[in-house]
Amino acid sequence: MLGKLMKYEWKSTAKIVSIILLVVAGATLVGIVGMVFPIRYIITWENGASVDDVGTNISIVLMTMTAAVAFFICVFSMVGVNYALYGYLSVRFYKTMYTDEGYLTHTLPLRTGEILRGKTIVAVAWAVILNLCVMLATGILLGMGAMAFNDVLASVGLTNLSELARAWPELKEELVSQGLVAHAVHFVLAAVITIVVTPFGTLLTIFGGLSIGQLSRKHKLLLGILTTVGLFFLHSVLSQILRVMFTFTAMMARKPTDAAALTYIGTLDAGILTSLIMGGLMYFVTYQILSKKLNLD
Amino acid sequence: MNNLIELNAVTKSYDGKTAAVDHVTLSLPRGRIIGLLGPNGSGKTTLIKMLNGLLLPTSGEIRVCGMPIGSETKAKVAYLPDRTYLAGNQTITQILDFFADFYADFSRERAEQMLGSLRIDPKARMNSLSKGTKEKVQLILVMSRNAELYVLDEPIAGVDPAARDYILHTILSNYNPQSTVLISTHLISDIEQVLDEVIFMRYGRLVLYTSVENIRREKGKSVDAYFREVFAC
Repeated sequence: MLGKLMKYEWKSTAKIVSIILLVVAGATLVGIVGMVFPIRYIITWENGASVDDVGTNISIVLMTMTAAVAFFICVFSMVGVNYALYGYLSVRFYKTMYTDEGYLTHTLPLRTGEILRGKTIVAVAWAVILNLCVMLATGILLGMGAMAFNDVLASVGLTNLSELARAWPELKEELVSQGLVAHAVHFVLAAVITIVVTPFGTLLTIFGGLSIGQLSRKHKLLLGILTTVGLFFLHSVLSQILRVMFTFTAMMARKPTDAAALTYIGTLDAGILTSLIMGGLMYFVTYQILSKKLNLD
Repeated sequence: MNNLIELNAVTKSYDGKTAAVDHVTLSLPRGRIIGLLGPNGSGKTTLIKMLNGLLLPTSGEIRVCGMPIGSETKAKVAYLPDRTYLAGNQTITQILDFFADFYADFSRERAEQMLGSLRIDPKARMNSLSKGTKEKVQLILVMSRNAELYVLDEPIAGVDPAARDYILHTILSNYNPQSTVLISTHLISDIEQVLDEVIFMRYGRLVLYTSVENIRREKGKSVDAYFREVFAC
């Protein structure tokens, strides 16, 4: 039954989430066409032009403006899609659990835990997919941007490989000095876990807040929203406390040269632990409310 | 044990002060069509929601088919709420798929037959249908199940008189004789003909539970006339 619920939840949400994913694809395209190509054009032009010509050439001004607009579209889209997805998933959770559609959800032959698990798993899966798509899009844009610069370097006799080879010893020394190489495995592992655990913590904080709102007799939605805001504040405070604790403890135990790496890793670890604590707690709270305090108007 | 529904001192209070349902103790048998009747605010819908697990009682115990309310009882109860509970962007065909997947007792063939006889296009989206047609679709979904208990909350309130006749005919011709149908309504005269028993509720309390035949024989009145007498303002 859990599988069936997940299948329908997936199908019901796929249309809107696909639109959000299309926005990511669209923003990437805008970035490539509106940002990377103009930058390439500008760099190529600058290499062959005198400084006095800058600003007088209308095409360069247009290219610069295009690149700037494309940059803002990209940044706002990549940030906005996350808000759009979390907003959509929150509204859907509320509608299917606590409004008229809840009459169908809660009369299905499913256990409360199955309903909550099904909705959580699908919502987290979409958030992870979106995260990966945004990362991929960012990677494509950065890669294309790097290629634009490489083309220019190549035109003056430098290849990207020779540049990299030339810069590598210095880069390596920098990475080693900051402890990033020594803690690479921990860092990568923490980053990967963060991609899954952060949506889990965020979504269940929202679900939990909206569920706590159901305890109000008259202002369920208002209390739900206010509780969610309060929980995110708590989430943030807890995360900061844990970050300081992790970083301090790690720095006391290891070499001072690891400071930068331990700060990054401490932040990631604190984020993971906060998301797990808040997500787990809010799962429990939501489950208890659904099991013992469900009151559909 | 032949009783399908057992309520033992069931109380529901929303605010901790006033009881919407107040110490109701009742046993309902199988194989009956029972009218749940009472004026506005008498606790009918609250009682029905508790039977379906949408509200939890403040105190007391509810058992359906001998089990406390849970996923097992929900598999045996077909519930028609007093509102549209289906997502507007879904087609009727998608909803049929959904019901067929979740309810083992759902007969898709019966649902399609009823949709055909009411000339409702299965490809239509819910949000393109009129209020009355939506109610018909929901009733068709409910009555296409071979459930042990049908709970219908105001099934004929929003439809025209001709459709009411069809709905009553649908209820009578589709329910399993071993099942019980519990119908809550204000339109007593319209459904009186199909009822075996009636429950009267007032201020959350059980006023009367008897057979329609008893009312006619002992009071010399129709259920509608007797209801008006009992609940006269």
